[in-house]
Amino acid sequence: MDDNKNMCSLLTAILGAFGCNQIIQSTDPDKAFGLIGDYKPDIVIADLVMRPTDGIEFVRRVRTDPTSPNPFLPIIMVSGHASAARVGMARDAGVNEFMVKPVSVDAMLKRMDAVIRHPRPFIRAKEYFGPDRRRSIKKTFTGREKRDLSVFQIEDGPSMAAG
Amino acid sequence: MSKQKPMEIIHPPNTLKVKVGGSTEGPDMDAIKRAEEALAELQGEMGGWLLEELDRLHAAQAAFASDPSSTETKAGLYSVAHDLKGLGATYGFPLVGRISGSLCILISGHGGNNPIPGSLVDAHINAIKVIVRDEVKEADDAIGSALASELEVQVTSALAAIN
Repeated sequence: MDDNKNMCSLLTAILGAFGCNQIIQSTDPDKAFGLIGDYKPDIVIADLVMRPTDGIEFVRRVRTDPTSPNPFLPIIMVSGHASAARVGMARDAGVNEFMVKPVSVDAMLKRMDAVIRHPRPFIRAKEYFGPDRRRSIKKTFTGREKRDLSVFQIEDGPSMAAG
Repeated sequence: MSKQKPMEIIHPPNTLKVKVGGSTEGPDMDAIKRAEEALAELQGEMGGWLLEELDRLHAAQAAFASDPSSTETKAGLYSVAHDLKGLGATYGFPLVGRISGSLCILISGHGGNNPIPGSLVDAHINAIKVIVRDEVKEADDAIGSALASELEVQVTSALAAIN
């Protein structure tokens, strides 16, 4: 999903070479939200800067809108903005992975591999719903866990829609 | 009174991993080769895509020049510059990406009612056109990179003047 059709074509070529056999392009974030229900995609690749709705708003809608077809949908965000502030906004909206343009084949494959083979658990908190924002958890950490220890874990959560 | 759970950790079933075969090995490195070949096949089309982007840039420049204080024309110019920032290197013109990035900083740095210096906008766009016209494809081209550096210095000065 990118409001630049040439970028869409480029991403389609890369994903096709990776073996993705059904690729739906959209240049309109609002329409793309509807397409999630229609096509039940496995992964969404979304640009950050789009009009009229930007990628951040799209991600928030997928994660938290009561009508969202799949709040757990893996989303890889692509952006020309590499600033910490923008990356932080994307992370706080609930993206799974972030990739800076120019897009490289190697970087795209690594992000795809991360969401397929090493998906992070989802966190549902008062002010956040999305993938665990901690990049990694140090297993050697022996101090007090800052998060509340009365954490409620669901090992087999709601089914992730997949098409 | 029941206490609301502060946080839930949810592990959605990884149907995607199952779908791709459930391998625990790393990413398919052959996919990189296939994707790079697919991009190489697109090189012929990318020349046309770049010319399309330059047409959009030219139109956005004209719209901005006709109404420099309009939020809409500023946003339109930023949108095209941002696309070129992300796509320049992919199209084989890394300096186009770099100079477009500088133009993005110039536009986004002039918030509120601060007028964007039109001559500096034009200097960026003229530089982009010349780089494409002369097929300057090396990121470290002596003249091209000197031009990009000078534009970046001018943007820094322009932003310093309003802050």
